[in-house]
Amino acid sequence: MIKLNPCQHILLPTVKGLAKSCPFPLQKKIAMLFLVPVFEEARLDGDLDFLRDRRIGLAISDIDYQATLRLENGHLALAKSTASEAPTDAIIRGNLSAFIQLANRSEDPDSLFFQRRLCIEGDTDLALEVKNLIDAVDLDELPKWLKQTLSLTQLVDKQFA
Amino acid sequence: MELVCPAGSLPALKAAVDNGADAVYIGFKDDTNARHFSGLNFNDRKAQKALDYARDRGAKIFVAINTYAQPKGWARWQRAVDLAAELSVDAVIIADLGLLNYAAQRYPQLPLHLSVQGSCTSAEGLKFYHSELGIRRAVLPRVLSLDQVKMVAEQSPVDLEVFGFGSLCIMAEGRCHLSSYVTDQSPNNSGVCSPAKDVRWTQTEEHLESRLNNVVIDRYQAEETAGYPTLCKGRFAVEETIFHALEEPVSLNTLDLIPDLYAAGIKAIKLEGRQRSPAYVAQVVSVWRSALDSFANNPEKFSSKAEWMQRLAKVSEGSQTTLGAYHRPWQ
Repeated sequence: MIKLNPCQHILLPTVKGLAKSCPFPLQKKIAMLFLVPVFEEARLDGDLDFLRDRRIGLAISDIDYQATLRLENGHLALAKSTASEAPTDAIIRGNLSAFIQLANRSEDPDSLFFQRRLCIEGDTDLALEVKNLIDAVDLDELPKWLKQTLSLTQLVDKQFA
Repeated sequence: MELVCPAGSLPALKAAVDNGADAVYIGFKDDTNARHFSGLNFNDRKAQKALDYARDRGAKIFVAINTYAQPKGWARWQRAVDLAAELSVDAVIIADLGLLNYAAQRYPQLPLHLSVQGSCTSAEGLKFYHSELGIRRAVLPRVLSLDQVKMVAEQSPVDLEVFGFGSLCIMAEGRCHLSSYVTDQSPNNSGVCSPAKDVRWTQTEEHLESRLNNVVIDRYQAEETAGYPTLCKGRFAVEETIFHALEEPVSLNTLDLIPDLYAAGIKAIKLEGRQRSPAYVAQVVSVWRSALDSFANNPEKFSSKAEWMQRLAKVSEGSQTTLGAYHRPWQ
């Protein structure tokens, strides 16, 4: 079990509270702001096509949050995760720290998986392709504001070190 | 010694080059290479970008076309060689004799490396590949002890490359069809020994269970590290005992052997992991770059640092490393 440091004691409930209180349409808009530019090159290369009619869940256990992603007009978008919606085909599950380390590429997903900090449920092939899709995002091609935002996550990452 | 590093995506390639790779090996987006996974590898546009990035920074690009051509798909394997030649990559890494012959006949200028999947372990074998097909380098399979590597190197007509780090397999490289037993696919024939479409992970109250085509491969207790769900690394009941009957999930790490490999005349060290992320590539390549530089600067006083070993163990399968077959005095 990973021990929480003082920063995490504050950070986790705050993020959890924000995620809980943020209405879905706003969550979707915020997600769109990031997802569209990050995966634009992949979309143009046809590398998002495998997600057609599929739903992939990202479950962040320690803040009790699940995001579901699917294609909407060819773009990757946040979808409702409620039980009334279609079930996800695969779920990638882990704690917030693992997802932050994935986002800023400070940790290798397979290593997190070996260490049992990430796990995959459902269609492994789909989850693997999503992992490879994220790995293939060329950060050099991203708009400047987005690169700066990502570098901010490195500061947060240090709180988990 | 040249440091040959893996890349399954453009960001991984950049990570390799930026962290000191002398050469990076990549594969195309189909079953012509032994890391045939969804979403991995390079289309022609990305391969060109990779080549430009590497060349601008003085690094070489090798293309692995290291599965065995199937009768129905021969044109696909030819196309892979054609594309590599068109891009004028620095070498192609091939295992299949027929494909080696095609490349040698069609593109005499294209440097050929014999892939580890070719499973050539003797100087006589290497002489054959050299005289008949003109290979310039061979990658030795991880089945030889250090003494055996030395013996082969003494008489080899071509440069030799050996594995320095990465997930270890059952050591029948180039000859392993074990996974066909449950999945009908194997590295040589399909470029994969644990097809993701056949893999299922299930978390229960007691354990994490991995299945390959519905065959239970392993059950991990809460605190246990996991491995890739390949048949060879599963735990099986043999008589009354359940254990890793074939191979443990572990990574090869030969930092300690750098002086021996150099003395044996080995020309290149290969790092495994085209299926891994840019983060893995960055971490592993930077450790190996530091180690090789440290050896080059002061060969007599070289010893591997604890910090290097820790960083490599962190990204290792099973979080542990071994010297593998290199350290088998009886062999």
